[in-house]
Amino acid sequence: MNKFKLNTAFWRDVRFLKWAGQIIFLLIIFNLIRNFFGQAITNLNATNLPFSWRFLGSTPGIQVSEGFVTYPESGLQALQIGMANMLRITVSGIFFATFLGTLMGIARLSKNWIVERATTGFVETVRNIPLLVQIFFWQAVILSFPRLEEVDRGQHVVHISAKGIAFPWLDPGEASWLFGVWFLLSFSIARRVFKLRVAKLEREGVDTRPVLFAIGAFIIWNVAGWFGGYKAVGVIGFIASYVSMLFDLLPRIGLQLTFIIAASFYAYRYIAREIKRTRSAENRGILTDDDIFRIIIAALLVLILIVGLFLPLGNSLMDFLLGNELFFKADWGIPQFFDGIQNKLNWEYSGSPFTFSYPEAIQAGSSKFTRYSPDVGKIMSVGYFATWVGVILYTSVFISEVVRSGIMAVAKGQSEAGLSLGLRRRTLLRLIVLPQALRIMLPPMGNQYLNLAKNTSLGIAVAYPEIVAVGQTLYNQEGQTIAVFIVWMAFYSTISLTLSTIVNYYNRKMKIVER
Amino acid sequence: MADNVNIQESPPEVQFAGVNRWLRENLFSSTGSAILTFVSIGALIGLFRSIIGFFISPEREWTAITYNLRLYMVQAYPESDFIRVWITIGLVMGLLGLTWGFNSVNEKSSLKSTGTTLMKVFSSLFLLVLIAPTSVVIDKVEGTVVDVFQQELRIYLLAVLAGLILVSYFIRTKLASQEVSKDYLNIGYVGLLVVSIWLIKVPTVTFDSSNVRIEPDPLLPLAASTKNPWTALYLLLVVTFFIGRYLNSKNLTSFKRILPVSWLLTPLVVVTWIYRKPDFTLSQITTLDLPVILGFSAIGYLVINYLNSEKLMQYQRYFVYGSLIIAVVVFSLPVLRQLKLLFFLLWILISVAPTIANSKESARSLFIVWSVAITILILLMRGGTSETLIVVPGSSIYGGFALTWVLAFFGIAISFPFGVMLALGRTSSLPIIRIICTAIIELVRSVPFITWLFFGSVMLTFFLPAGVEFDEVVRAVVVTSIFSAAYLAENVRGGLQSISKGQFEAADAVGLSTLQRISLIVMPQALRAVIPPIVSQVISLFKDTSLVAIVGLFDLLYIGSKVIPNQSQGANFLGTIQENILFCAIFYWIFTYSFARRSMKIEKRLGLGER
Repeated sequence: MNKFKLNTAFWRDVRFLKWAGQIIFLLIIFNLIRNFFGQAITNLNATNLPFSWRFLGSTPGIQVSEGFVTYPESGLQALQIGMANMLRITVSGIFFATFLGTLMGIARLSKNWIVERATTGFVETVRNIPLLVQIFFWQAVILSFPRLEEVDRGQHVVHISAKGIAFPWLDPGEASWLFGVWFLLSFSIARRVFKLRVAKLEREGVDTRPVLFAIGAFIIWNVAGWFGGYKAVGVIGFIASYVSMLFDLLPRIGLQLTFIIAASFYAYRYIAREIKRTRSAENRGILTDDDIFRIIIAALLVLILIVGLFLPLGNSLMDFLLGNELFFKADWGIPQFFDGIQNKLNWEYSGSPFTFSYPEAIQAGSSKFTRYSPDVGKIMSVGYFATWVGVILYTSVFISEVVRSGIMAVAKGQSEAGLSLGLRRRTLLRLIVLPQALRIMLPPMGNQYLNLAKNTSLGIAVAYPEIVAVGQTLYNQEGQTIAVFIVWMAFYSTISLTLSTIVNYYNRKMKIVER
Repeated sequence: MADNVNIQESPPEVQFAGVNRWLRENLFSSTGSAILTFVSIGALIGLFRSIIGFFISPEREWTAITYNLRLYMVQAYPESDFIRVWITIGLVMGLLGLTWGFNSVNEKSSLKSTGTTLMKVFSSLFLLVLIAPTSVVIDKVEGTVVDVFQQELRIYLLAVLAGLILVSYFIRTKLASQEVSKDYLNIGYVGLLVVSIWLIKVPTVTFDSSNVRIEPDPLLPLAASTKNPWTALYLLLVVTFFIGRYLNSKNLTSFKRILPVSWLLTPLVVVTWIYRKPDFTLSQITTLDLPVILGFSAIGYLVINYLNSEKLMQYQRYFVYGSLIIAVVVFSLPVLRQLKLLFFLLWILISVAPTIANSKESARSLFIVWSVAITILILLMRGGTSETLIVVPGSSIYGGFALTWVLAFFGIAISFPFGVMLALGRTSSLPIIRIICTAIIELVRSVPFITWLFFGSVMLTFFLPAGVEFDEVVRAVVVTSIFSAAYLAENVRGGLQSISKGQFEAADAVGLSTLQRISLIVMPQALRAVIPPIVSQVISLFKDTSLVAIVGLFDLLYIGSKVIPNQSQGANFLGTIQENILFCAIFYWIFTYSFARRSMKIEKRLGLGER
């Protein structure tokens, strides 16, 4: 038996000292936070604008220049418009910036001297000018076009003026949601066909042209869908109507509690399993503190989401917590959700899912000014255009750098080995270089996407109503600056956590399995 | 003997294989490549034609920039105090010259590369003049065409440029073996710039006696009112360069330490004493500051010389604790801020003095450092805490490009220690500290910079006790440094993670304490490894300072995008937004691009970022 015991006084024990120090540190931080917020509450009360969330429910009396609604009926809706506008630019921006950036990255590796020099010149120009300057520049570009005049009235195919860019657009018909679901299905159909053909190729050793077949299946499926096939999706709506009826029969609050408990239980089990898996002997230390931090934050957000979305008005928990009567509208429950599905996906809908419409310049009401009709075509406003182009170009030059360094980081021996096997250049790129380059490119690419999402906030400088701009208008109106800041923080954190979770997931999936 | 032959290392000579082969390999390697070449040449010509057309179109009001250059640089800083601005720049120029001269490695460069560079520049200009459009369309609706570029002028310019190309070709081929010092070459280039501000004339706006704008606008030298100071500053640069070189030849190693410290101190001195005009009286300094300085110097003298005597050595620990307690007590008392700081410094001095001042010589130099440091600190605090006597219409004396510099410098300087501490906290083995640091970093990073600027400009006052108010610029600096610290922490963390575990274990094995391990073993390696990302972060911070235009600070971009395009009185530049935005873009570009290139070269030379 080991009876040896260290006679160290507990105040000289390093374990005690470490924890004591940390706890003191924690207390200091808590105290600082408490002091700061206590001061803030005192100051706000002194200015007769006590902190409250009430503005989320009341009508703010502001106008938002673009968005799914232009006269929001509540502060919450105003912020939602801002979020939707921000996401519009972010999603399309990520798509175009990736495309452009990849193109430029490959062009910078081109053997053609003039292409390489021109692209490098472009990249060096764009990346060294502040984004805000560029956004102002694009605004100035579009404002230098002539104003909309009386002579411009009538239909156009594409029209550019100081009011923005108008171009043809697909207007959704009543069956658009049905076709949308059908369209999404087409990807998995095409993938399935591709897999089948590849399997046949491997089995029989004859060229079965998988890509051609997949594209063919994609086209046939969508053409069939366009001319009425989409009605099959209506089954979902049919089922949803019954689910909705079923829910109406149940007592409401009990159901929601069941849902929350079930969701929390499954979330807990998932997280526990994940931790167990990653802490096991062969995978030790994969789950870092950042991951734990992310899981905690994500779980908190999911909880808020569940509570916010599925508790109806009246005796809602949110109400109880925040002491407001107007936090969420009554039409946010689960039955309403299924009602919505039934409403969107009804097999009785018919007609072309989308119709083509051209933009039209019309007389604005009784005034003599000309503007684009908001009902037909699509109008890209000045603010949207400036922010969109600025953000895309700025991000794409950074993406081009990522792509370039990613491709260059693949060892030269890899492509030489591929060439010596007799692969064609294209096949070599597709099968050997790109898969390895993608692995290197993924984390920095995710960073660039995050930067893009954050940079859309500069739309405020050109009066594009994204969340920061709407929030600013809102707090100028209502005085709830801190509440708006909390909303900003929650929103952007959700976006960046979602993006980084997706990137981390793929990163882990694509990681080369090492010994 | 063959062994004695001195073989100089030199890169292999690249043989130029001839124009034909170069073209075939780089432009026409395949059919696709050839098509690409023609298409991109066509596109580039079109692009440059329209850009040049834009610049020389008579619609452009470039006078909006030449007239407003002063506004761009220092905003509304009063003219009577401009000497302060010049001293500020002079200080930086002098230091620049000293550093340059002191660190000069006397590299030689063959005239061949100079000739090549000149040839490239002149050929590009030649091509640009060649493709420049003769006429441009103004007024897009009417489609009026205006001649802007006479054929004679084009031929004249082409002839001049062709001559210059020939001259540079001559330098390249005939004088190729000649060697010049790179430093002299650079001095010559800067000198050319200075000469050009005397010679190049640009249109400006002037008014006659009844305050009416004179049409057509006369041509004046580029820097009409500032050419004398700039020339003087250039001469200062040259003189200090030679002084620096002289000091280097004298092998003054102590000067090597003084230089970085003076670089660090210069901005502080500039913003607290020179650029501002602190409202102090001499009596304040003689009656209040001088006794404090003298007193603390005396205490420092005693500490340095007597604390490491054998008698007192054993009680050193109690001195350290005692001085710390005194410092904390003084800090909570309502005394002068200077004293609060000094007692903390005294605590640090007592802790380190016995280790550093172990010989007579080092004790003397520590005493000098101590006295000089507290003198400078006290004077800086005096300047920083007193009101400025400069009255500027508007709120702050910082505006224009000066504001951009203040934000960028202080943003980085303040954020550096915090960033390093956050990074250490995030990689620490203590869970609570680690989680708090992670939370701070992630929360700050997840939100865009502009929301932090709003936080600073609108919300920061709520969190401070009533009556405590900061200037707008100070608030912007505070949020800039918070934001920058979080990003810096991530960069430093990357460096910390790149250090192998063996280093930590080795440090433990020799018995270093945690503080010693971090400051002597880990940090020097970690920081060296991450200098390239930190440099790129500095560049991006410099670009990000333009965002303060959104919250209404008068920085370069705000002046260019809002102030000048709205000038309706006097010179009337209403709506000259394109010109001003372009000017801002070019201005920022010159700074960021040259900084990036310069730092890339230095990194390559020192082998930074490589391990």
